[in-house]
Amino acid sequence: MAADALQTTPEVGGMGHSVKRKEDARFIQGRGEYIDDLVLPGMLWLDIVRSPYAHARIKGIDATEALAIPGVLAVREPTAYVGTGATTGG
Amino acid sequence: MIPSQFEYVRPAGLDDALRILAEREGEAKVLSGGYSLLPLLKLRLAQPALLVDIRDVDGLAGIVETNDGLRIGGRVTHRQIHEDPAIRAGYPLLTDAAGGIGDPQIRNWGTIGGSCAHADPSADWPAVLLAVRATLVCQSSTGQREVVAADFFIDTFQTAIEPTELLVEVRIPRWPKGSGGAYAKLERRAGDFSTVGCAAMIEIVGAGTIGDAAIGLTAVADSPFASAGAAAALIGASPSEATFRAAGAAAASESNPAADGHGPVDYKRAMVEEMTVRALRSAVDRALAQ
Amino acid sequence: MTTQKVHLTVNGEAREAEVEPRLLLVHLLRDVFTLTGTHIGCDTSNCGACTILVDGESAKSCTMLALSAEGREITTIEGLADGATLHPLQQAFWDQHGLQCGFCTPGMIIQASWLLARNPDPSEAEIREGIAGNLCRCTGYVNIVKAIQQAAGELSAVAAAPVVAAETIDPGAADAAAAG
Repeated sequence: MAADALQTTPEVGGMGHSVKRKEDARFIQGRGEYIDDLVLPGMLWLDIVRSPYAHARIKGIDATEALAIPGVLAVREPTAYVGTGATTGG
Repeated sequence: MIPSQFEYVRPAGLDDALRILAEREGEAKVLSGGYSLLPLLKLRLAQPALLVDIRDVDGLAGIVETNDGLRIGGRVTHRQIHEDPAIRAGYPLLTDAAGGIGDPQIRNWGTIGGSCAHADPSADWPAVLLAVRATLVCQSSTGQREVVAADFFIDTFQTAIEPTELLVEVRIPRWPKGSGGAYAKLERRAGDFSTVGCAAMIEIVGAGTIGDAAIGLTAVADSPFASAGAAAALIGASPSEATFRAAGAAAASESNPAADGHGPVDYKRAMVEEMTVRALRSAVDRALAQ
Repeated sequence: MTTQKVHLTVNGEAREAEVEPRLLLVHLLRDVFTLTGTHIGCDTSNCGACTILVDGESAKSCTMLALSAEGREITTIEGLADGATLHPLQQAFWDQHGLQCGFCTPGMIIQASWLLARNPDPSEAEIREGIAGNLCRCTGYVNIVKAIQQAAGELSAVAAAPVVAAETIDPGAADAAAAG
């Protein structure tokens, strides 16, 4: 079967035709709205502090220095795990 | 990554800049192109109290060729050096080195003065300056002094420059007719720091033997250094592969590379020899073409 | 936390802001001026996603201070199109499928604009060297090179003969397409 028999017409597009992407329109103008581009009312930023030690016992968590930094609203500490014998991942 | 807090000043001229460095001795870091200093600030490996941005300091951005050699201002960018026709014609090892530093964006802003004053143990310019036996001109509010390259690069990120000084000029001496130089850089990928960088300067004299030679190496010791053993293996010898290998072996034995992401110690030593040979082949070709 | 004023031109407009000295230029553009087209990829001056023009020279804005841009002219991706008419590079990246996720694209296009301004007729090798500071994880660079070649042809055609059909883009339609 000839290759052109598999092509759709240019108006329909699809097989055999080069199709322009729709999303490129915003990407080439820098209007991609990636996650870090989003600004929502009342938005906060979350940073995750990871243990540098794998498979370690959590003996304690001291958030005083972090809370003293201007702009830090809260520190979520997994205090429930302190002293239980639970270990960090790894 | 965010730097820690610092003050920022942008002096209008050299006198202003030097006065600030004197007044704030030890507290200030000079900001030239910024592509070595700012990454350190962002990682908080450096936390200076004051940044002195010298972008408006005039008189440090010239490339002047005289009969004695080249005078390159401390604020001249890697790209300006790479594109300079007089340098390409008379000092092509500088062209080699300049074109391999970082990437186009970095070469637009990074400066030779900033690079040398920063003295990353893998930086390319120090190896070149050691090979050509350059002089670095340091200026403070009390005067100017010249430091030969061999005395300038002391240790990892440590140079002979004082906290009150600015590196205002690099002077490259003109080697005699019949000389040639080349820079050979081994890197893992585009834009990388050197795994091994070797700069070679060779003078061929009347009998066709090597009258003078210098080899500068980077990334394979605590700081860039000139290989005395390599030079000794070259001077008086004829420029042959065997001579190049001997020089390379001497350079490798004087190196003290650390194992890291670029490779293990044995590999790096072997590459010191190989890159020395390649730099020498090219340097000799250029010397003979003179 | 002392702040200083910075005055600069961004995409032809005079702008100013009161900033901490440690504020990076990329954050001035993205967070203060809400020009989020310039992206932060590696934050270590490797990837080039943050590439902008400063007084016509391409620069990695994640490794520049906002205060260092005092008095300078900044061009970002948002400043390339001429109103509703795409810049030939933007058009070419679209035509040649020079993007997939689009994250490297603004920096890549800006760097290409710098390259073509200095070298209007680059060889393929010169194009590849010219974008050596811009990493793309999606495309493998082949179509990026083709896009830059197309734009180079367009730009020299424009220089030679002013009649070039450029695709215009309706910003409203782009937003609708993004939402849809």
